[in-house]
Amino acid sequence: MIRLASFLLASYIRSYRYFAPVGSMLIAMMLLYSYKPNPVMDSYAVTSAFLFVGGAWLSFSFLNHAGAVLEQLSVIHAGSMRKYAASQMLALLAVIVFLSAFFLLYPVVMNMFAATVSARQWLIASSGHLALGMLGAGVSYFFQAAYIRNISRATAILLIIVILSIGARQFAAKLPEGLSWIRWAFPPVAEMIDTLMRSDTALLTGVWGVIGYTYLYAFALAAAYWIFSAYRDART
Amino acid sequence: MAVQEQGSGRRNTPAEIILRLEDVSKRYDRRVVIEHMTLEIAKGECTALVGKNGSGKSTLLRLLAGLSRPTEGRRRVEDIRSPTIGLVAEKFPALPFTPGEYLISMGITRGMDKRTVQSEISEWLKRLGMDSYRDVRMSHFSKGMLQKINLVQAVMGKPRLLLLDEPLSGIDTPSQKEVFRLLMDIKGMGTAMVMSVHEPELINQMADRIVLLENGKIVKEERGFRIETVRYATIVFNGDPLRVRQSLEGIGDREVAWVKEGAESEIHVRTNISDHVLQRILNGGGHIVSVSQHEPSEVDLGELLKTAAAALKGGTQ
Repeated sequence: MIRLASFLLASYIRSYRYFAPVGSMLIAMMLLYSYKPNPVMDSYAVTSAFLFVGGAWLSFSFLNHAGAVLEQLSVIHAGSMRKYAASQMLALLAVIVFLSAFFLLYPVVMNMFAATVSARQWLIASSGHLALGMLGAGVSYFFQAAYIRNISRATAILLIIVILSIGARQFAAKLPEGLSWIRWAFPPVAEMIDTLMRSDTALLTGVWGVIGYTYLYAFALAAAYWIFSAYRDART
Repeated sequence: MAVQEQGSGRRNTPAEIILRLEDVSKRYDRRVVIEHMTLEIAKGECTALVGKNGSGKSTLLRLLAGLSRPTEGRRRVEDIRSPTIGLVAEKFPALPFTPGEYLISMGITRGMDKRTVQSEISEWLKRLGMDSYRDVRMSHFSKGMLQKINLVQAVMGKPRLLLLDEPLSGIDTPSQKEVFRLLMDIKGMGTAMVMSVHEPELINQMADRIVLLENGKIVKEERGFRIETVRYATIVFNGDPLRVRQSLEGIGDREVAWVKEGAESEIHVRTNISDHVLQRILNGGGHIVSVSQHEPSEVDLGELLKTAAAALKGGTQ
Protein backbone atom coordinates (compact mmCIF):
# COMPACT_ATOMS: atom_id res chain seq x y z
CA MET A 1 0.00 0.00 0.00
CA ILE A 2 2.87 2.36 0.85
CA ARG A 3 4.54 1.49 -2.45
CA LEU A 4 1.35 2.14 -4.42
CA ALA A 5 0.82 5.40 -2.53
CA SER A 6 4.34 6.58 -3.40
CA PHE A 7 3.85 5.48 -7.02
CA LEU A 8 0.57 7.41 -7.27
CA LEU A 9 2.25 10.43 -5.72
CA ALA A 10 5.14 10.22 -8.20
CA SER A 11 2.65 9.85 -11.04
CA TYR A 12 0.80 12.96 -9.83
CA ILE A 13 3.98 14.97 -9.46
CA ARG A 14 5.10 13.99 -12.97
CA SER A 15 1.72 15.04 -14.36
CA TYR A 16 2.45 18.61 -13.14
CA ARG A 17 -1.20 18.98 -12.10
CA TYR A 18 -0.16 20.03 -8.61
CA PHE A 19 1.17 23.30 -9.99
CA ALA A 20 -2.09 25.28 -9.85
CA PRO A 21 -3.24 24.33 -6.31
CA VAL A 22 0.22 24.46 -4.75
CA GLY A 23 1.11 27.66 -6.61
CA SER A 24 -2.11 29.33 -5.47
CA MET A 25 -1.49 28.33 -1.85
CA LEU A 26 2.05 29.70 -1.97
CA ILE A 27 0.94 32.99 -3.58
CA ALA A 28 -1.78 33.42 -0.93
CA MET A 29 0.74 32.72 1.84
CA MET A 30 3.29 35.14 0.37
CA LEU A 31 0.62 37.87 0.25
CA LEU A 32 -0.32 37.17 3.85
CA TYR A 33 3.30 37.50 4.94
CA SER A 34 4.07 40.42 2.66
CA TYR A 35 4.56 42.59 5.74
CA LYS A 36 5.71 41.95 9.29
CA PRO A 37 5.31 41.57 12.17
CA ASN A 38 2.23 39.32 12.16
CA PRO A 39 0.14 37.90 15.02
CA VAL A 40 0.92 34.19 15.47
CA MET A 41 -2.42 32.41 15.80
CA ASP A 42 -4.35 34.79 13.51
CA SER A 43 -1.82 34.10 10.76
CA TYR A 44 -1.94 30.36 11.38
CA ALA A 45 -5.74 30.45 11.27
CA VAL A 46 -5.59 32.07 7.83
CA THR A 47 -2.96 29.66 6.47
CA SER A 48 -4.96 26.69 7.75
CA ALA A 49 -7.93 28.03 5.78
CA PHE A 50 -5.64 28.21 2.72
CA LEU A 51 -4.72 24.62 3.38
CA PHE A 52 -8.39 23.60 3.48
CA VAL A 53 -9.13 25.20 0.09
CA GLY A 54 -5.79 24.12 -1.40
CA GLY A 55 -6.18 20.63 0.02
CA ALA A 56 -9.60 20.26 -1.60
CA TRP A 57 -8.23 21.47 -4.95
CA LEU A 58 -5.14 19.32 -4.70
CA SER A 59 -7.12 16.24 -3.73
CA PHE A 60 -9.58 16.85 -6.57
CA SER A 61 -6.79 17.06 -9.16
CA PHE A 62 -4.90 14.13 -7.60
CA LEU A 63 -7.90 11.80 -7.60
CA ASN A 64 -8.64 12.64 -11.22
CA HIS A 65 -5.10 12.60 -12.57
CA ALA A 66 -4.76 8.86 -13.25
CA GLY A 67 -6.36 7.55 -16.42
CA ALA A 68 -8.87 4.71 -16.41
CA VAL A 69 -6.33 2.04 -17.44
CA LEU A 70 -3.79 3.08 -14.81
CA GLU A 71 -6.54 2.91 -12.20
CA GLN A 72 -7.68 -0.54 -13.39
CA LEU A 73 -4.16 -1.94 -13.32
CA SER A 74 -3.39 -0.39 -9.94
CA VAL A 75 -6.54 -1.98 -8.48
CA ILE A 76 -5.55 -5.36 -9.94
CA HIS A 77 -2.03 -5.12 -8.51
CA ALA A 78 -3.23 -3.86 -5.13
CA GLY A 79 -5.74 -6.70 -4.99
CA SER A 80 -8.84 -4.66 -4.20
CA MET A 81 -10.48 -1.31 -4.75
CA ARG A 82 -10.28 -0.61 -1.01
CA LYS A 83 -6.52 -1.03 -0.94
CA TYR A 84 -6.30 1.31 -3.92
CA ALA A 85 -8.51 3.88 -2.15
CA ALA A 86 -6.41 3.58 1.02
CA SER A 87 -3.25 4.15 -1.05
CA GLN A 88 -4.77 7.28 -2.57
CA MET A 89 -5.61 8.65 0.88
CA LEU A 90 -2.16 7.80 2.18
CA ALA A 91 -0.57 9.69 -0.72
CA LEU A 92 -2.80 12.70 -0.03
CA LEU A 93 -1.98 12.56 3.67
CA ALA A 94 1.73 12.72 2.86
CA VAL A 95 1.17 15.87 0.78
CA ILE A 96 -0.97 17.47 3.50
CA VAL A 97 1.66 16.73 6.17
CA PHE A 98 4.34 18.28 3.97
CA LEU A 99 2.28 21.41 3.22
CA SER A 100 1.26 21.76 6.88
CA ALA A 101 4.91 21.66 7.91
CA PHE A 102 5.72 24.25 5.27
CA PHE A 103 2.93 26.61 6.38
CA LEU A 104 3.97 26.22 10.00
CA LEU A 105 7.71 26.63 9.52
CA TYR A 106 7.88 29.31 6.84
CA PRO A 107 6.84 32.27 9.02
CA VAL A 108 9.09 31.07 11.85
CA VAL A 109 12.12 30.57 9.62
CA MET A 110 11.49 33.88 7.84
CA ASN A 111 10.96 35.63 11.18
CA MET A 112 7.50 36.90 10.24
CA PHE A 113 5.89 36.81 13.69
CA ALA A 114 5.67 39.52 16.30
CA ALA A 115 6.34 37.02 19.10
CA THR A 116 7.99 33.67 19.67
CA VAL A 117 5.68 30.72 19.03
CA SER A 118 4.91 28.92 22.29
CA ALA A 119 4.67 25.13 22.63
CA ARG A 120 0.89 25.42 23.13
CA GLN A 121 0.60 27.50 19.96
CA TRP A 122 2.75 25.01 18.05
CA LEU A 123 0.61 22.11 19.13
CA ILE A 124 -2.70 23.81 18.37
CA ALA A 125 -1.53 25.31 15.07
CA SER A 126 -0.02 22.05 13.77
CA SER A 127 -3.12 20.08 14.77
CA GLY A 128 -5.32 22.71 13.17
CA HIS A 129 -3.39 22.75 9.90
CA LEU A 130 -3.33 18.99 9.64
CA ALA A 131 -7.04 18.71 10.48
CA LEU A 132 -8.13 21.33 7.96
CA GLY A 133 -5.80 19.94 5.28
CA MET A 134 -7.23 16.46 5.77
CA LEU A 135 -10.74 17.89 5.79
CA GLY A 136 -10.06 19.73 2.52
CA ALA A 137 -8.73 16.56 0.92
CA GLY A 138 -11.70 14.64 2.31
CA VAL A 139 -14.42 16.81 0.82
CA SER A 140 -13.04 16.01 -2.65
CA TYR A 141 -13.13 12.22 -2.30
CA PHE A 142 -16.54 11.87 -3.89
CA PHE A 143 -16.03 14.45 -6.62
CA GLN A 144 -13.71 12.39 -8.78
CA ALA A 145 -14.65 11.09 -12.22
CA ALA A 146 -15.36 7.64 -10.77
CA TYR A 147 -18.34 9.10 -8.91
CA ILE A 148 -19.33 12.12 -11.01
CA ARG A 149 -18.48 11.67 -14.68
CA ASN A 150 -19.08 15.31 -15.56
CA ILE A 151 -15.96 17.05 -14.23
CA SER A 152 -17.41 20.57 -14.68
CA ARG A 153 -20.41 19.64 -12.57
CA ALA A 154 -18.18 18.01 -9.96
CA THR A 155 -16.02 21.16 -9.82
CA ALA A 156 -19.08 23.39 -9.35
CA ILE A 157 -20.56 21.27 -6.53
CA LEU A 158 -17.20 21.01 -4.79
CA LEU A 159 -16.74 24.77 -4.99
CA ILE A 160 -20.18 25.34 -3.46
CA ILE A 161 -19.34 22.98 -0.59
CA VAL A 162 -16.01 24.71 0.01
CA ILE A 163 -17.68 28.14 0.05
CA LEU A 164 -20.51 26.94 2.32
CA SER A 165 -17.99 25.33 4.68
CA ILE A 166 -16.04 28.56 5.06
CA GLY A 167 -19.17 30.71 5.41
CA ALA A 168 -21.30 28.20 7.35
CA ARG A 169 -21.46 30.35 10.48
CA GLN A 170 -22.73 33.39 8.61
CA PHE A 171 -25.25 31.32 6.66
CA ALA A 172 -26.43 29.55 9.80
CA ALA A 173 -26.87 32.90 11.57
CA LYS A 174 -29.48 33.87 8.97
CA LEU A 175 -31.45 30.67 9.55
CA PRO A 176 -34.29 30.36 12.11
CA GLU A 177 -33.20 29.36 15.63
CA GLY A 178 -34.31 25.75 15.23
CA LEU A 179 -32.13 25.25 12.15
CA SER A 180 -28.88 26.66 13.50
CA TRP A 181 -27.56 23.08 14.01
CA ILE A 182 -27.14 22.91 10.23
CA ARG A 183 -23.75 24.62 10.47
CA TRP A 184 -22.42 21.48 12.21
CA ALA A 185 -23.46 19.40 9.22
CA PHE A 186 -21.00 21.28 7.03
CA PRO A 187 -17.27 20.64 7.34
CA PRO A 188 -16.33 22.65 10.47
CA VAL A 189 -13.97 25.05 8.70
CA ALA A 190 -15.44 28.28 10.03
CA GLU A 191 -15.44 26.90 13.61
CA MET A 192 -11.83 25.84 13.26
CA ILE A 193 -10.64 29.18 11.92
CA ASP A 194 -12.48 31.00 14.69
CA THR A 195 -11.09 28.63 17.31
CA LEU A 196 -7.51 29.02 16.11
CA MET A 197 -7.89 32.80 16.20
CA ARG A 198 -9.19 32.72 19.78
CA SER A 199 -6.98 29.87 20.96
CA ASP A 200 -4.64 32.10 23.01
CA THR A 201 -7.48 33.13 25.31
CA ALA A 202 -10.09 30.40 24.89
CA LEU A 203 -10.50 27.37 27.17
CA LEU A 204 -8.38 24.44 26.09
CA THR A 205 -11.34 22.05 26.25
CA GLY A 206 -13.24 24.17 23.73
CA VAL A 207 -10.20 24.45 21.44
CA TRP A 208 -9.48 20.70 21.47
CA GLY A 209 -13.17 19.96 21.16
CA VAL A 210 -13.33 21.78 17.83
CA ILE A 211 -10.02 20.29 16.65
CA GLY A 212 -11.25 16.82 17.65
CA TYR A 213 -14.55 17.35 15.86
CA THR A 214 -12.67 18.41 12.71
CA TYR A 215 -10.52 15.26 12.85
CA LEU A 216 -13.64 13.19 13.43
CA TYR A 217 -15.27 14.77 10.37
CA ALA A 218 -12.16 14.14 8.24
CA PHE A 219 -11.91 10.53 9.43
CA ALA A 220 -15.62 9.98 8.76
CA LEU A 221 -15.13 11.19 5.18
CA ALA A 222 -12.11 8.90 4.79
CA ALA A 223 -14.01 5.93 6.24
CA ALA A 224 -16.97 6.60 3.95
CA TYR A 225 -14.66 6.82 0.95
CA TRP A 226 -12.94 3.58 1.93
CA ILE A 227 -16.23 1.74 2.52
CA PHE A 228 -17.98 2.98 -0.63
CA SER A 229 -14.96 2.35 -2.85
CA ALA A 230 -15.69 -1.39 -2.62
CA TYR A 231 -19.09 -0.75 -4.20
CA ARG A 232 -17.93 1.18 -7.22
CA ASP A 233 -16.59 0.04 -10.57
CA ALA A 234 -13.12 0.93 -11.74
CA ARG A 235 -13.20 3.73 -14.30
CA THR A 236 -13.52 2.75 -17.95
CA MET B 1 -13.15 -17.86 -41.26
CA ALA B 2 -15.12 -20.97 -40.39
CA VAL B 3 -15.13 -23.28 -37.42
CA GLN B 4 -14.28 -26.94 -37.72
CA GLU B 5 -14.89 -29.37 -34.89
CA GLN B 6 -12.06 -31.53 -33.67
CA GLY B 7 -13.48 -34.50 -31.82
CA SER B 8 -15.41 -34.12 -28.58
CA GLY B 9 -13.13 -31.62 -26.86
CA ARG B 10 -9.59 -31.13 -25.63
CA ARG B 11 -10.38 -31.44 -21.93
CA ASN B 12 -11.48 -34.82 -20.67
CA THR B 13 -10.78 -34.70 -16.92
CA PRO B 14 -12.95 -32.65 -14.53
CA ALA B 15 -11.33 -29.22 -14.33
CA GLU B 16 -10.55 -27.31 -11.16
CA ILE B 17 -12.70 -24.19 -11.31
CA ILE B 18 -10.88 -21.08 -10.13
CA LEU B 19 -13.44 -18.39 -10.93
CA ARG B 20 -17.15 -18.49 -11.56
CA LEU B 21 -19.73 -15.98 -12.74
CA GLU B 22 -23.20 -17.04 -11.66
CA ASP B 23 -26.18 -15.63 -13.54
CA VAL B 24 -24.43 -12.29 -13.78
CA SER B 25 -25.98 -9.22 -15.37
CA LYS B 26 -24.44 -5.80 -15.78
CA ARG B 27 -26.42 -2.68 -16.53
CA TYR B 28 -25.21 0.89 -17.04
CA ASP B 29 -28.25 3.07 -16.31
CA ARG B 30 -30.89 1.24 -18.35
CA ARG B 31 -28.50 -0.25 -20.90
CA VAL B 32 -27.97 -3.96 -20.42
CA VAL B 33 -24.38 -4.88 -21.30
CA ILE B 34 -24.22 -8.41 -19.85
CA GLU B 35 -27.39 -10.43 -19.39
CA HIS B 36 -27.76 -13.46 -17.10
CA MET B 37 -24.39 -14.91 -17.89
CA THR B 38 -22.90 -17.97 -16.23
CA LEU B 39 -19.28 -18.77 -16.93
CA GLU B 40 -16.68 -20.95 -15.27
CA ILE B 41 -12.95 -20.47 -15.61
CA ALA B 42 -10.93 -23.63 -15.12
CA LYS B 43 -7.33 -23.88 -13.99
CA GLY B 44 -4.92 -23.77 -16.91
CA GLU B 45 -7.66 -23.39 -19.52
CA CYS B 46 -7.54 -20.75 -22.23
CA THR B 47 -10.85 -19.20 -23.21
CA ALA B 48 -11.27 -16.99 -26.26
CA LEU B 49 -14.10 -14.48 -26.18
CA VAL B 50 -15.34 -13.74 -29.67
CA GLY B 51 -17.98 -11.24 -30.66
CA LYS B 52 -18.60 -7.99 -32.43
CA ASN B 53 -17.81 -4.60 -30.90
CA GLY B 54 -20.36 -3.91 -28.18
CA SER B 55 -21.13 -7.59 -27.60
CA GLY B 56 -19.87 -7.30 -23.99
CA LYS B 57 -16.37 -8.82 -24.23
CA SER B 58 -14.55 -6.03 -22.38
CA THR B 59 -17.27 -5.73 -19.73
CA LEU B 60 -17.09 -9.49 -19.19
CA LEU B 61 -13.32 -9.25 -18.71
CA ARG B 62 -13.79 -6.44 -16.19
CA LEU B 63 -16.37 -8.52 -14.31
CA LEU B 64 -13.97 -11.46 -14.23
CA ALA B 65 -11.19 -9.15 -13.02
CA GLY B 66 -13.41 -7.81 -10.24
CA LEU B 67 -13.09 -4.29 -11.63
CA SER B 68 -16.83 -4.11 -12.23
CA ARG B 69 -19.49 -5.30 -9.83
CA PRO B 70 -22.36 -7.33 -11.23
CA THR B 71 -25.73 -5.57 -11.10
CA GLU B 72 -27.26 -9.01 -10.56
CA GLY B 73 -25.78 -12.41 -9.88
CA ARG B 74 -22.42 -13.03 -8.28
CA ARG B 75 -18.75 -13.50 -9.00
CA ARG B 76 -17.24 -16.30 -7.00
CA VAL B 77 -13.54 -16.62 -6.58
CA GLU B 78 -12.56 -20.20 -5.89
CA ASP B 79 -9.06 -20.81 -4.72
CA ILE B 80 -7.59 -17.53 -5.84
CA ARG B 81 -5.83 -15.62 -3.17
CA SER B 82 -5.80 -12.03 -4.21
CA PRO B 83 -3.95 -10.66 -6.11
CA THR B 84 -3.21 -13.51 -8.48
CA ILE B 85 -5.02 -12.04 -11.45
CA GLY B 86 -3.13 -10.36 -14.26
CA LEU B 87 -4.81 -7.98 -16.66
CA VAL B 88 -3.59 -6.96 -20.10
CA ALA B 89 -5.60 -3.84 -20.82
CA GLU B 90 -6.38 -3.00 -24.44
CA LYS B 91 -4.37 0.22 -24.50
CA PHE B 92 -1.52 0.61 -22.07
CA PRO B 93 -0.88 4.31 -21.36
CA ALA B 94 2.46 5.98 -22.14
CA LEU B 95 3.22 6.65 -18.47
CA PRO B 96 5.84 9.18 -17.36
CA PHE B 97 7.88 6.33 -15.85
CA THR B 98 10.55 3.96 -17.06
CA PRO B 99 9.52 0.27 -17.35
CA GLY B 100 11.88 -0.44 -14.43
CA GLU B 101 10.22 2.15 -12.16
CA TYR B 102 6.68 1.12 -13.05
CA LEU B 103 7.18 -2.64 -12.94
CA ILE B 104 9.09 -2.60 -9.64
CA SER B 105 6.37 -0.45 -8.05
CA MET B 106 3.61 -2.75 -9.26
CA GLY B 107 5.52 -5.90 -8.34
CA ILE B 108 6.03 -4.69 -4.78
CA THR B 109 2.37 -3.60 -4.67
CA ARG B 110 1.50 -7.20 -5.62
CA GLY B 111 3.40 -8.33 -2.54
CA MET B 112 6.56 -9.56 -4.27
CA ASP B 113 9.94 -8.82 -2.76
CA LYS B 114 12.16 -6.38 -4.62
CA ARG B 115 14.81 -8.92 -5.60
CA THR B 116 12.26 -11.32 -7.12
CA VAL B 117 10.58 -8.47 -8.98
CA GLN B 118 13.89 -7.29 -10.40
CA SER B 119 14.92 -10.73 -11.60
CA GLU B 120 11.48 -11.38 -13.13
CA ILE B 121 11.49 -8.01 -14.88
CA SER B 122 14.98 -8.60 -16.28
CA GLU B 123 13.96 -12.02 -17.54
CA TRP B 124 10.77 -10.86 -19.25
CA LEU B 125 12.30 -7.73 -20.74
CA LYS B 126 15.18 -9.78 -22.12
CA ARG B 127 12.80 -12.28 -23.70
CA LEU B 128 10.92 -9.45 -25.37
CA GLY B 129 14.07 -7.68 -26.53
CA MET B 130 13.28 -4.73 -24.28
CA ASP B 131 16.12 -4.97 -21.75
CA SER B 132 17.92 -1.95 -23.19
CA TYR B 133 14.76 0.15 -22.66
CA ARG B 134 14.44 -0.65 -18.96
CA ASP B 135 15.51 2.87 -17.94
CA VAL B 136 13.91 4.84 -20.78
CA ARG B 137 10.70 6.74 -20.07
CA MET B 138 7.67 5.02 -21.59
CA SER B 139 6.33 8.33 -22.94
CA HIS B 140 8.76 7.76 -25.85
CA PHE B 141 7.59 4.20 -26.59
CA SER B 142 5.74 2.89 -29.64
CA LYS B 143 2.45 1.01 -29.28
CA GLY B 144 4.23 -2.31 -29.70
CA MET B 145 6.73 -1.51 -26.96
CA LEU B 146 3.96 -0.37 -24.62
CA GLN B 147 2.06 -3.56 -25.29
CA LYS B 148 5.09 -5.61 -24.28
CA ILE B 149 5.33 -3.70 -20.98
CA ASN B 150 1.59 -4.22 -20.61
CA LEU B 151 2.17 -7.96 -20.85
CA VAL B 152 5.09 -7.97 -18.44
CA GLN B 153 3.12 -6.09 -15.76
CA ALA B 154 0.30 -8.62 -16.15
CA VAL B 155 2.45 -11.75 -15.84
CA MET B 156 4.61 -10.55 -12.95
CA GLY B 157 4.25 -12.82 -9.94
CA LYS B 158 2.90 -15.62 -12.14
CA PRO B 159 -0.84 -14.97 -11.85
CA ARG B 160 -3.15 -17.97 -11.88
CA LEU B 161 -5.57 -16.16 -14.16
CA LEU B 162 -4.56 -13.85 -16.98
CA LEU B 163 -7.19 -11.66 -18.61
CA LEU B 164 -6.33 -10.14 -21.97
CA ASP B 165 -8.29 -7.49 -23.83
CA GLU B 166 -7.22 -7.53 -27.50
CA PRO B 167 -3.57 -8.35 -26.73
CA LEU B 168 -2.44 -7.99 -30.35
CA SER B 169 -4.52 -4.95 -31.23
CA GLY B 170 -2.80 -1.95 -32.77
CA ILE B 171 0.72 -3.37 -32.82
CA ASP B 172 2.94 -4.12 -35.79
CA THR B 173 3.47 -7.65 -37.14
CA PRO B 174 6.94 -8.29 -35.63
CA SER B 175 5.69 -7.18 -32.21
CA GLN B 176 2.56 -9.31 -32.67
CA LYS B 177 4.76 -12.34 -33.27
CA GLU B 178 6.83 -11.67 -30.14
CA VAL B 179 3.74 -11.11 -27.99
CA PHE B 180 2.19 -14.22 -29.47
CA ARG B 181 5.28 -16.28 -28.58
CA LEU B 182 5.20 -14.92 -25.04
CA LEU B 183 1.52 -15.79 -24.65
CA MET B 184 2.24 -19.33 -25.81
CA ASP B 185 4.97 -19.56 -23.14
CA ILE B 186 2.56 -18.30 -20.48
CA LYS B 187 -0.03 -20.84 -21.55
CA GLY B 188 2.65 -23.49 -21.32
CA MET B 189 3.17 -22.50 -17.68
CA GLY B 190 -0.41 -23.58 -16.91
CA THR B 191 -1.88 -20.12 -16.43
CA ALA B 192 -5.63 -19.89 -16.99
CA MET B 193 -6.37 -17.28 -19.63
CA VAL B 194 -9.44 -15.46 -20.86
CA MET B 195 -8.86 -13.29 -23.87
CA SER B 196 -10.92 -11.10 -26.09
CA VAL B 197 -9.45 -11.68 -29.55
CA HIS B 198 -9.97 -11.23 -33.25
CA GLU B 199 -6.97 -13.09 -34.64
CA PRO B 200 -7.84 -16.60 -35.89
CA GLU B 201 -4.26 -17.81 -35.48
CA LEU B 202 -4.20 -16.79 -31.82
CA ILE B 203 -7.52 -18.53 -31.20
CA ASN B 204 -6.45 -21.70 -33.00
CA GLN B 205 -3.11 -22.06 -31.28
CA MET B 206 -4.08 -21.02 -27.78
CA ALA B 207 -7.76 -21.38 -27.03
CA ASP B 208 -9.15 -24.55 -25.48
CA ARG B 209 -12.61 -23.07 -25.55
CA ILE B 210 -14.29 -20.39 -27.62
CA VAL B 211 -17.18 -18.36 -26.22
CA LEU B 212 -19.27 -16.42 -28.69
CA LEU B 213 -20.95 -13.31 -27.32
CA GLU B 214 -23.82 -11.43 -28.86
CA ASN B 215 -25.62 -8.51 -27.20
CA GLY B 216 -24.23 -9.40 -23.77
CA LYS B 217 -25.20 -13.06 -23.93
CA ILE B 218 -23.25 -16.24 -24.53
CA VAL B 219 -24.80 -17.65 -27.68
CA LYS B 220 -22.35 -20.51 -28.10
CA GLU B 221 -19.61 -22.17 -26.10
CA GLU B 222 -17.43 -24.69 -27.85
CA ARG B 223 -14.43 -26.87 -27.05
CA GLY B 224 -12.40 -28.68 -29.64
CA PHE B 225 -12.61 -26.52 -32.71
CA ARG B 226 -10.46 -24.94 -35.32
CA ILE B 227 -11.14 -21.67 -37.06
CA GLU B 228 -10.24 -22.07 -40.68
CA THR B 229 -8.31 -19.05 -41.89
CA VAL B 230 -9.67 -17.80 -45.18
CA ARG B 231 -7.77 -15.44 -47.44
CA TYR B 232 -9.76 -12.81 -49.23
CA ALA B 233 -9.22 -10.89 -52.44
CA THR B 234 -10.68 -7.51 -53.28
CA ILE B 235 -11.91 -7.15 -56.86
CA VAL B 236 -12.69 -3.70 -58.20
CA PHE B 237 -14.51 -3.55 -61.53
CA ASN B 238 -16.48 -1.25 -63.86
CA GLY B 239 -19.75 -2.11 -65.54
CA ASP B 240 -23.42 -2.58 -64.79
CA PRO B 241 -23.54 -4.03 -61.25
CA LEU B 242 -27.00 -5.50 -61.87
CA ARG B 243 -25.73 -7.58 -64.78
CA VAL B 244 -22.70 -8.68 -62.79
CA ARG B 245 -24.93 -9.63 -59.84
CA GLN B 246 -26.98 -11.79 -62.15
CA SER B 247 -23.82 -13.35 -63.48
CA LEU B 248 -22.65 -14.12 -59.91
CA GLU B 249 -25.91 -15.79 -58.97
CA GLY B 250 -25.42 -19.16 -57.36
CA ILE B 251 -22.25 -18.10 -55.48
CA GLY B 252 -23.06 -17.96 -51.76
CA ASP B 253 -22.95 -14.88 -49.51
CA ARG B 254 -20.07 -16.42 -47.58
CA GLU B 255 -17.94 -16.52 -50.69
CA VAL B 256 -18.64 -13.06 -52.06
CA ALA B 257 -19.37 -9.87 -50.13
CA TRP B 258 -20.36 -6.65 -51.92
CA VAL B 259 -18.50 -3.71 -50.47
CA LYS B 260 -19.41 -0.99 -52.98
CA GLU B 261 -21.91 -0.92 -55.84
CA GLY B 262 -21.91 1.70 -58.61
CA ALA B 263 -20.03 2.76 -61.72
CA GLU B 264 -17.00 1.27 -60.00
CA SER B 265 -17.96 -1.65 -57.77
CA GLU B 266 -15.93 -3.56 -55.20
CA ILE B 267 -16.36 -7.05 -53.84
CA HIS B 268 -14.51 -9.25 -51.33
CA VAL B 269 -14.15 -12.81 -52.47
CA ARG B 270 -12.49 -15.93 -51.06
CA THR B 271 -9.25 -16.43 -52.93
CA ASN B 272 -9.95 -20.09 -53.66
CA ILE B 273 -12.77 -19.10 -56.00
CA SER B 274 -11.44 -15.72 -57.18
CA ASP B 275 -10.55 -16.97 -60.70
CA HIS B 276 -14.06 -18.32 -61.11
CA VAL B 277 -15.58 -15.04 -59.87
CA LEU B 278 -13.36 -13.00 -62.22
CA GLN B 279 -14.61 -15.05 -65.16
CA ARG B 280 -18.23 -14.50 -64.11
CA ILE B 281 -17.67 -10.72 -63.79
CA LEU B 282 -16.28 -10.64 -67.33
CA ASN B 283 -19.21 -12.75 -68.51
CA GLY B 284 -21.55 -10.19 -66.95
CA GLY B 285 -19.99 -7.39 -68.98
CA GLY B 286 -17.74 -6.10 -66.22
CA HIS B 287 -14.21 -4.72 -66.72
CA ILE B 288 -11.68 -5.60 -64.05
CA VAL B 289 -9.91 -2.53 -62.56
CA SER B 290 -7.84 -4.26 -59.90
CA VAL B 291 -7.44 -7.45 -57.90
CA SER B 292 -5.62 -7.50 -54.59
CA GLN B 293 -5.10 -10.19 -51.99
CA HIS B 294 -4.88 -9.65 -48.28
CA GLU B 295 -4.30 -11.58 -45.06
CA PRO B 296 -7.33 -12.14 -42.83
CA SER B 297 -6.05 -9.56 -40.37
CA GLU B 298 -6.17 -6.90 -43.06
CA VAL B 299 -9.82 -7.32 -44.00
CA ASP B 300 -12.71 -5.91 -42.04
CA LEU B 301 -12.59 -7.73 -38.72
CA GLY B 302 -16.28 -7.15 -38.19
CA GLU B 303 -17.02 -9.06 -41.36
CA LEU B 304 -14.68 -11.83 -40.36
CA LEU B 305 -16.37 -12.14 -37.00
CA LYS B 306 -19.78 -12.20 -38.62
CA THR B 307 -18.60 -15.14 -40.70
CA ALA B 308 -17.10 -16.85 -37.66
CA ALA B 309 -20.29 -16.30 -35.68
CA ALA B 310 -22.42 -17.72 -38.48
CA ALA B 311 -20.15 -20.71 -38.78
CA LEU B 312 -20.05 -21.25 -35.01
CA LYS B 313 -23.84 -21.00 -34.70
CA GLY B 314 -24.72 -23.17 -37.65
CA GLY B 315 -21.66 -25.19 -38.50
CA THR B 316 -20.89 -27.00 -35.28
CA GLN B 317 -24.34 -27.80 -33.97
